[in-house]
Order: sequence, then C-alpha cells, then structure tokens
Amino acid sequence: MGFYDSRTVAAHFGINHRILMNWVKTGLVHPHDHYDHTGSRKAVLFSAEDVKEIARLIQVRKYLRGQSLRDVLNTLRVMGHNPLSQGDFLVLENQKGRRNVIKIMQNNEAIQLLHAQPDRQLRLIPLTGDDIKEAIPDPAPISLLFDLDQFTPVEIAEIIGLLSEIYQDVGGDALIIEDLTLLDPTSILVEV
Amino acid sequence: MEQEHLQEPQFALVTVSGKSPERWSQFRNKLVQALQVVLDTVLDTEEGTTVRDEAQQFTRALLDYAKANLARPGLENDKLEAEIRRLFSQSEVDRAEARKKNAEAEALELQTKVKRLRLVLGGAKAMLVGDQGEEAVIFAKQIEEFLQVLKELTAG
Repeated sequence: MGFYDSRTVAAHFGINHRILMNWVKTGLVHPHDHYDHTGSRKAVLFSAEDVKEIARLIQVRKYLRGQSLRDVLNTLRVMGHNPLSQGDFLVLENQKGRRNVIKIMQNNEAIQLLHAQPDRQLRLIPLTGDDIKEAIPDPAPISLLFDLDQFTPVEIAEIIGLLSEIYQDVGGDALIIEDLTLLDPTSILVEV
Repeated sequence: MEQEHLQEPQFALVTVSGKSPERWSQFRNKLVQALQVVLDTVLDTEEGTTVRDEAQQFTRALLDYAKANLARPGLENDKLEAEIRRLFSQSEVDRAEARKKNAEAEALELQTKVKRLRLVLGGAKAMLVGDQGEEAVIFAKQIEEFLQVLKELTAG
C-alpha cells in the first residue's frame, strides 16, 4: 500500500496545507510518522485509509465546524464508532436547541429510522459524497517509444538506466520497467 | 485487390515508473522537466520548427490507440522484453556496485548524466508528447511518419 506526503494530500483535496496539518495537530486525523535511519521524524505520511478518512472529514465539515465537529467525532469515538471509516450517515438529534449525536448508520438503516420515528428531529449527515474523491490515483507512468531500427536492446536498456540515474538525481528512488510491448505498424495492410 | 505493407519502422513501447508510488508521485514532474533538457538538444531543428511543434495535436490517446491496435504479441515480444529487462537489471546492479566502490561515480552531476544520455541517443530525434501527467517520450528517426500513420488511422 502506498503512502502520500501531506502536500500531495492537500493538493488532491484542494485544501490549504496548513489546515491539513492543523487537523493532524489537533488529532482529527492520525497519519503515520516516517523516521529516518537516525530515528528522527522525517515526514508525516498518509495511507490510503487516512486519505479516505480525510475525504469524509471534508464532507462532514460542510455541516459541522470547529468545536462542534470535534465534539461530534469525539462522542462517536467514545461510543465505539470511527465516523471517518464506517457507515454512510451520522445521525444527529435536535433536542431543545442542542444537537446530540446518535449513531452512524448505513443507508438503508437511516431510511428506516426516518420512517419509524417521524416525530423526532433527526438530521442525517452524509459521510460520503460524489464530489469527494476518496482515493488518490497512482501517478501515470511514462511511456518511452523506441524506433527499433535505431536502437538495440542494449541501447534501450542503457537509456532507461540513464533515466533511472537522472530520476535518482531529482530525488526519486529507481525506475522500474512496468511493461514492454512491440508495436508493428508494418502489420497494417492497405489496399492499393 | 493488391495489398502492400506501409514502410514504417518497428517500435518498442516501454512503460516505466518509480519503484515506490509515493516517490514517483513526488518526483515524476521533475524527471519530465529533466527529460525536457535532454530532448531540447535532439529535436529536429533544421527547418526552424521543432518536431514538438508539429506534434502538438498528438496526445496520449493516440499512443494508447497505437498500443491497442499495433501491438505484436507472441514470442518475439517476450524475447525482446526479457532481453531489455535482463540488461537493465544488470546495469542497475553494476551502477549500484560502482557507486559503492567509487564515491566519485555517485557525485557525477545531473548535467554529466544528461550529456551521457545525449551521447547514447546519438542523432535520434526525440520528443515529449501528451498532456501534463500523461507524457510519453518518442525516440525515433521517423517520428513524423509514425505520427502520420497514427493520425490517418485515428481519423479513419
């Protein structure tokens, strides 16, 4: 499973990097710490699951902000729920001007609840949204197209090797060959 | 009706990415920028226009089309893939050993590596095509012909 740095995650969701790091600082999200060989913390890295939770957090922030948001999430966690990783809706009940957290529900349960208790002032907050992409897509590879009249396998391997070195120079790790396919335009027959 | 083959070159399409997705995600754009430096010196500039200019309409979709429709399956493909993978793996091992033995090798500047890559490319034409994030590099003598074939095919 891949991990993503904080700037990649902030850019993916279009949120300010400082806001994201504030969520980390205040415990709204819990990414992984990455340490170097000396044991010093080098970076904060987010797993795919963390990214999914952030997507849900962004969704919930449309309805609740600041301390209200923290209270709701903390209450649910005390109740044994992880509101950012389970269910489709969180349910709030309005009672005398106060909003109490009830639970997290799946879609079908939420509909049943609304039908069964029409007199209660319930509010359903969706935890997922079509406009929020919960996963960061893996970046595209780079395709290299070689004219085989001009390059031998040795030269192709050497070129990829040099690109691998250049990639390391700009901070990358190492290039790997994901796929290799022969293209054969001469196999196309044309009628004359 | 008589049929004849188009006289076009054979191509190998090699897809590469970083060993770890997060590193690749962070540094792919920098690699593309570094590649651009290499390609600027091997573009055909005889007529004052670059191959890149001529290929502005050429997108990743065309390359995908080529891959889907012009792929040559079978033993020959497998043999070439195995050969290139073997040579590349060996060269990676050799380079790692050289770096261990010789600190100078590691200290080679990016500029030096770019120069070496230009030398290996020789007189080839090369260009970067596709939209940002979907780039592909073409190294060829007959880029224009290849592009023309693809354009005609996709137009048809």
